[in-house]
Amino acid sequence: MIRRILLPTILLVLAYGFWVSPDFKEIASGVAIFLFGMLAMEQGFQAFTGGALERVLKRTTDRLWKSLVFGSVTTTIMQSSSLVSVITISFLSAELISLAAGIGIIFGANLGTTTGAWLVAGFGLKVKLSAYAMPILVFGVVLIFQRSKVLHGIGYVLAGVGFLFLGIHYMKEGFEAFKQGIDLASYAVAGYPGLFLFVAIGILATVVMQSSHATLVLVITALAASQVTYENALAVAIGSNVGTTITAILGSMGSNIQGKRLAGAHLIFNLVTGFIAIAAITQIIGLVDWLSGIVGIAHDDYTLKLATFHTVFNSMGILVMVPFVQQLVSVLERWMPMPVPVFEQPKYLNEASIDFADAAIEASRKETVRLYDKALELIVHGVGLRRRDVFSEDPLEGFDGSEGGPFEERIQERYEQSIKSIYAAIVAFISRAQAGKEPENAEELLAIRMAGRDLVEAIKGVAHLQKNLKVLIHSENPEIRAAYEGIQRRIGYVVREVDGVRRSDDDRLAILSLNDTILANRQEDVLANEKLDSLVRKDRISATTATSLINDYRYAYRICKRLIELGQILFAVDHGDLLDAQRSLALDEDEIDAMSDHGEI
Amino acid sequence: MKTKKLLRKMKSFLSADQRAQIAKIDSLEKILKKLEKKELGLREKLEGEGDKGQHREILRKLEVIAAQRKKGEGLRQELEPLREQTAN
Repeated sequence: MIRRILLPTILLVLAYGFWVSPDFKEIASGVAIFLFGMLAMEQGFQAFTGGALERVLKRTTDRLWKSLVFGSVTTTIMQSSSLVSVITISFLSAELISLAAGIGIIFGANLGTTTGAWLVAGFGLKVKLSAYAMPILVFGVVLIFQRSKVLHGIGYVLAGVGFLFLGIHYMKEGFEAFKQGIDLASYAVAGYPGLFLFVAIGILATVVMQSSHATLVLVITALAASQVTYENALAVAIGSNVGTTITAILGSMGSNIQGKRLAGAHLIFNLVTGFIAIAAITQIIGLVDWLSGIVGIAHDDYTLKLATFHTVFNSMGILVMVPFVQQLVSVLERWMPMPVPVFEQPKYLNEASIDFADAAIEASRKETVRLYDKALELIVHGVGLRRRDVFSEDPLEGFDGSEGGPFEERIQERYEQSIKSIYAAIVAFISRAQAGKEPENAEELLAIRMAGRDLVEAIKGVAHLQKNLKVLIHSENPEIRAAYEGIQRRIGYVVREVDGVRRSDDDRLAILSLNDTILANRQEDVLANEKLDSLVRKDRISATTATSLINDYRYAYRICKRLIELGQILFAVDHGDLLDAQRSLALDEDEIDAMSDHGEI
Repeated sequence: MKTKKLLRKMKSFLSADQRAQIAKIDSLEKILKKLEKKELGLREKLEGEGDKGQHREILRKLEVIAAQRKKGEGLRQELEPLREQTAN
């Protein structure tokens, strides 16, 4: 229920926000563009999986110290720990690196980001990443259109980076109004209350501005103008370190569980580092003074001392956390377990019936019929038909491709979720139930198992057939279109007939009724192939298409054959000796062939 | 080919005990009656069917039923003496 109303509620809140506040619109657009950038980057990195990038990453992150150096160096170059952390999340989502390596990179990024404070404090420099967004985007999009897989991948990565920058830019722009309101001097408070207050301000400012760099610039400027005390400025630096994790958390929203774990590691690391810095603030200040004396920083040069502080407390965090990386991985894996895919479970197969022949046969049959119901939907939608067309009274003769429904695109996924687990359970149940049973009962159980196999093979056939069917049913060539519409109709007809037998009041004729469907399938196949030969002779279709059609006719024939066979097993219920009598009257392969040879459709 | 199959069916009937064989003949007759009823129903449907495709489909069904009934009648004729023998 909550799930059902959640999305509409979010959309309504967003729509209302866009209506009342242009700033909100800008911020929300920034978040959307940012997330889109994440997705694009992930797709780009996937192009390199199994290739050079994987090898480079493996070599540069196979040891913890290497991951630390990698994170530190890349953040120093890019001047954005947020960017490095979201890139790392996409590496992890694409399974290019391990979680432990990702954590190492994040730790390193925290050290690398302190160089920004040095640049700002020392040289007053700040690399404005948003200025690069547009050129990067343009280069990215140009490369996306290239055929080379590598260039295509690079294009997506660049477009992703461009969108990230652009997203951050919009978020910053949107928060400009809030930024104006943050006047640090007006909040100057001494002692621990001041410390906590300014840590909170640092967190808030970084979350709002989406950049710890921006917060540091703000505080360094305020410190240089004596608007804020040195201690309070240090607290803001601590807060900015914690606040910067919001970018990674935001980035992990579009990633898989590994990405979320990494964002969790980032948050834990920065929280622990923050706590250490708060708890040992006096000692760290003393250490910073001592180090400043050694490197020649003037006693009253608080801006450089702030940069030193930033480096010192992040280094301390790394020293404290590095020995616990494996424990951190275990904790995160426990807190955020891999989602277990939901598979359908058998409904009728129970232990109590396994020892009794009739009960075991009935349970297996019911479960296989349940499987049939699930599979039938997949088959019907897999060939672009709609249930209401297949199961209506209207003839399928006039049915054409334009009337069909959308093709079920996730056949494999739905097979894994709804079919495979039940089929596996049926196979296991029947194998166990067969043991020690009378030969005729064992044979019946085996036949039901074969019906399950027929279903699975029919689905696999549909998955193969669909590749051409969904494209060529819309072909410009009317002959090709008609051929594929014929395939659709043939499968629809067989499904209708088999299901008709199932729903018929008289299951005493199930096997015999489906004899006719076998004949229809044969005749359709012969006729379709004869027509195909004629089209090739008249040059109405190309040899390549003819080859595809030959294969697809074969798939269609087999799908129908499997469906009929399973229908003859599943829906012919034994009523004393009637089943044997039916079998003795059923036409065999030779008899049907003979009818097919001289028959007309 | 047909004779061979009939002999095989005969063999399976003869291998069971007589009571069972009679039960099987009864089942065969029940099925044949059902087929006859189905054929009649289809013939009625055929008369009122205006759609060409449906018409063709019913004709095919009738053709199949005819073949099945013919096969069944042959089998019954082969087995009839067995029932008479049992009755005597």
